[in-house]
Amino acid sequence: MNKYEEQSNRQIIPRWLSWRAVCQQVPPDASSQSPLAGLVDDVHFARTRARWENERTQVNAADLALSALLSGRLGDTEVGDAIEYLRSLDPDPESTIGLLAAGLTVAGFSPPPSAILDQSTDPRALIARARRVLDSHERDPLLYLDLAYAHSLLMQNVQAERNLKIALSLAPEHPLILRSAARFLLHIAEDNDPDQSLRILRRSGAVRHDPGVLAAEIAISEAFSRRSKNRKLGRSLAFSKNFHPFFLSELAGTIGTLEARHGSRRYARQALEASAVCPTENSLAQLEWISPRVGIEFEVPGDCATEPFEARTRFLFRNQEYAQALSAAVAWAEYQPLSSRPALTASHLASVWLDKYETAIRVLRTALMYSPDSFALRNNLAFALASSGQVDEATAELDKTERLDLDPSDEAVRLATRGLLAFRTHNHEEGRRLYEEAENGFRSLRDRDRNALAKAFHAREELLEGTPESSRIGLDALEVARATGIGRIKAIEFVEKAIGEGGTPQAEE
Amino acid sequence: MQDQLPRHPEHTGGRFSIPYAVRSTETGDIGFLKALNFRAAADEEDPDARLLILESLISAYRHERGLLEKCHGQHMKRVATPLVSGTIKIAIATPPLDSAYYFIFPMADAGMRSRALDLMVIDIAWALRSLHHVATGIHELHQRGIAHQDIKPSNVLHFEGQGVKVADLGHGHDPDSPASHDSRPIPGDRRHAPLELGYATAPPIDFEARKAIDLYCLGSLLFFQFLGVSATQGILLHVVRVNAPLTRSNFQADLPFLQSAFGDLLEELERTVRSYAPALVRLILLVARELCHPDPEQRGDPKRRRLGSVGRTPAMRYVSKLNAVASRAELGML
Repeated sequence: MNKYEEQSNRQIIPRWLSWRAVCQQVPPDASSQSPLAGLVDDVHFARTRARWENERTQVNAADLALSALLSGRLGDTEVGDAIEYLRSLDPDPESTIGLLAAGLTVAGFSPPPSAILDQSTDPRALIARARRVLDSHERDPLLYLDLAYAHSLLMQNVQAERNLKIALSLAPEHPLILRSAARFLLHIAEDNDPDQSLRILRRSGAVRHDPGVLAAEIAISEAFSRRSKNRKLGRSLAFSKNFHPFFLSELAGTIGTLEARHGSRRYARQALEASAVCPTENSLAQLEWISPRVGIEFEVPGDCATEPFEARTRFLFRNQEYAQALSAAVAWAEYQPLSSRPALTASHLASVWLDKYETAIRVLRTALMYSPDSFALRNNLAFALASSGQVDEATAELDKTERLDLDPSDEAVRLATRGLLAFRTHNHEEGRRLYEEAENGFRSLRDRDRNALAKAFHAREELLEGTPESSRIGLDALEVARATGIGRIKAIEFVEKAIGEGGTPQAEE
Repeated sequence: MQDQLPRHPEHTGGRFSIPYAVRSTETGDIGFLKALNFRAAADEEDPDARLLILESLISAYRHERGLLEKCHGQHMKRVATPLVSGTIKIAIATPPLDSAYYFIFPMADAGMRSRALDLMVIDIAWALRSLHHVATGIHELHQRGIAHQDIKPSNVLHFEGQGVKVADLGHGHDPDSPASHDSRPIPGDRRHAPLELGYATAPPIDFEARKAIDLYCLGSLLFFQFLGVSATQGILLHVVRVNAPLTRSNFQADLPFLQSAFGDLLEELERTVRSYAPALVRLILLVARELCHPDPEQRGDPKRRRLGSVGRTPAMRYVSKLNAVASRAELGML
C-alpha cells in the first residue's frame, strides 16, 4: 500500500467539471444585479397585475409571476395566487411555465436542477442531448464544452479535445471555457507538460483582466515551476474592489500561496484572508492545505462554498476523524472523477486507517477507468484486493503495472505489494525477501514513512501466517511506527494486539 | 362618444392618451378613440416639469400622428391605422386646453394575449396565421420606411374575420421624422427587446438595426405563442436557472451563457411544437432560431450572413415562411 502523499506544492488549478456545476458554485449575492433586474418597471407590473385580475388565464398568470420575479415583487398576494394557479395546471417540469411553477416562492427563484443536465448526468445522455440541440443551434460553445466533458468521462479524449477546441474557437476569450480547456489539456498532457495549457491562457486577452483566468495561469505556472509574467498583475488584481470576493478568491489564494512559498508571511496572510472572504470549494481546499503550513487558521463563512469535498476531507483527516474523512473523500472522488488524487486519498483512508477494502476497491476501479496508467491507483487496488482475500485478482492488477516505467520509490512500493501477494499465497520466504528488499529500497531513498508502512504490513502478514519471525518483525514494526506518524493505523493496532496477546488474531474487514 | 374605457390591459398607447369607446352616429360601428391627455401635465405642480410633460406629450402625439399619416391610404392590411383623426372642441375647458386631439381606430375584438388564453390548448393554425399577419404588418411598415420597435402581444390586435394587425406606433422610428425616443438604446418594451440592447449605451446605429429589432420581436412573439413567454424572458429565465454569472456589462462575455439558454429554450419549443404539429417542427424552429438567436451576427438568412449582409434580412423572408407554415397548419398537415 502506498502512503498518503500530501502535496508539497498544492496550487489552485481549475477543476474539470461540467460548466453547469461550475455555475452552481456561484453564490446568489455574487452578481450585483440579477440578469433579470430592470426588465419590468412599476407601470408594466401594474398592467400585468391588472390583466391577471381581469382574466385568470395561464398566460396572464405566467406573465405576472415572471414580472414579479423581474421586479422583485414576489410577495404580492396576487402573485402568490398566480403561482398557485400555475402549479394547479401541473405543467411539464422542464417547460418554462413548469420552471416558474416549481421554482418561484415569495423568497425568490430556486428552480430544481434539470434532470438531464446536472453533474451526475449519464455522459451518453449528455452527448445525445448536445448533438440534438446542435442540429438546430450549431454555434453554441457551451454545448461543445458539454460534449468535451461527456467524452472525457467516457475516456474518449480525442473527441473531448476536438470538441473543446471547437468551444474555444467559438468563444476564445470566455473565462469558463479558457479555464476548462487549460485544465483538460493538463489532464491529457504527455509527461505532465503544461505548455499547451499555459499557451492558451497566456494568448488570451482575458488573462489581463479576468481574475479567474489570471489565477489559473499563475497557479499552473507555479505548479510546474514555470515563471509567470503575470504575478505582479495578480498581486494587484487580487485586492480589486471591482469584483465580488468569490471571483477573486482563487486569485487571492494563488497569490497567498506564492507569497508563502517566498517567505512573505505578511503578504501571504493578507492574500489568504482575502481568499477566505467568500471562497470557491477549490480555494477553500487550498486554505485547508496551507493553514498548517503557515500556522494560520482562517475564518471562513460557513455557507459559502458549495460541495467542499476536498476541504472537508483534508480537515477531517487532519483531525483524525477517519470514517467521516472517508465519506468526504468518496464524495470528492465522485465530484472529480477524472482526478486520481481523491481516489488515492479515499483508498488510503479505507485500506490503511479503516480496513474498508471494498470501499477502496470500488473507488479505485472507477478512478482507474479514467487513469488506467496510474501506478499508484493500480497498486492500491492490488493491495486492497489482496488484503480482502482476492489474491488472483490482485496479482492480475499488479501484473498490469509491469509495462510501466517506475521510479525507484514506486519500484520499492511494488516490491512490497508483491511481498503481500506472496504471503497471501503462503510463500513466506519469498514474501519476506520481497518486503525486506522494499524496506531496503525505502531506507536508501531515506523515505521513513514508506519504510514504516512496509514494515507494518510485513509484520501483519508474518503474524497472520504465524511465522517464527513474526514477533521479532512485529516488534521492529512497532518501534519504527512509533517514530513516525502511523501509530494508529489498523495494521499497527493489529500487530500490537497480536504481540500483546501472544496470538495471531484475524484481520478485520 | 360612447364611453371612456377603463384602462383595459389590451389597450395600448398609454404614453400620451386616454382610451375611449366611440360609436358612429351614421353606421353605429364602435371605434376605439385615443385622445391626447393633458391631464398628466395639469396634475404636475412644478411649472418646469409641467412644461416638459406637455412638450413630451405633444411630441409623442405628433410623432405617432406623423407615422400614421404616412401609413394612411397605403393599403396596409396588417397595420392598425386610424379611421379618422382630428380635433374636437371641449366645451367645459378653457383655451388653450379646450381642444382634444384624437385618433379613432377600428375596435379590435381581442389582443393576441387574450386569444392565447391557455397554453394547454394552442390553436396552432390561428397562432401561425397571426404570426404571418404580424410579419406582413412589419413588412408593410418597413416598406414605408417605418420601424415599429415595440412589437409585443399587447400591440397585436385581433379583428374577427380579418386576422391580426400590428398596432401602436408610439415607439416607431422614421428616419425622416426624429422622435425623442430615438436616442434610447431600447426604444420599446425591454421584456421583448433583443438581449444585446440591454448592454447598449447608445441607440441602434441605423435604420437597418431598428428594422432588425422588429424581426427579433416577431420571433419573440412566436415563443410567446407556444411557451407563454417572450424569447428574452425565456432566455433570461434559463440563465437564472443554471445560475450563470452574467457580467451584465460585457455582452460578448455573457453571450455563451445566453446562447446556451437559447438552446434550452429551443429544445422546449421543439418539444411543444412536436406535440401539436410534428411535421412543422423543422420550419418553425428554423424561423425561431433565425429571428431570435442571442448573437445578432447569427440572425437572419444564413445565405445573406455568408455574403456579409448580417442583419439585412428583409421581413419578406418570414412573411413567406410563416405563410407556408400557417397554410399547412390550416390544411391540417401537421
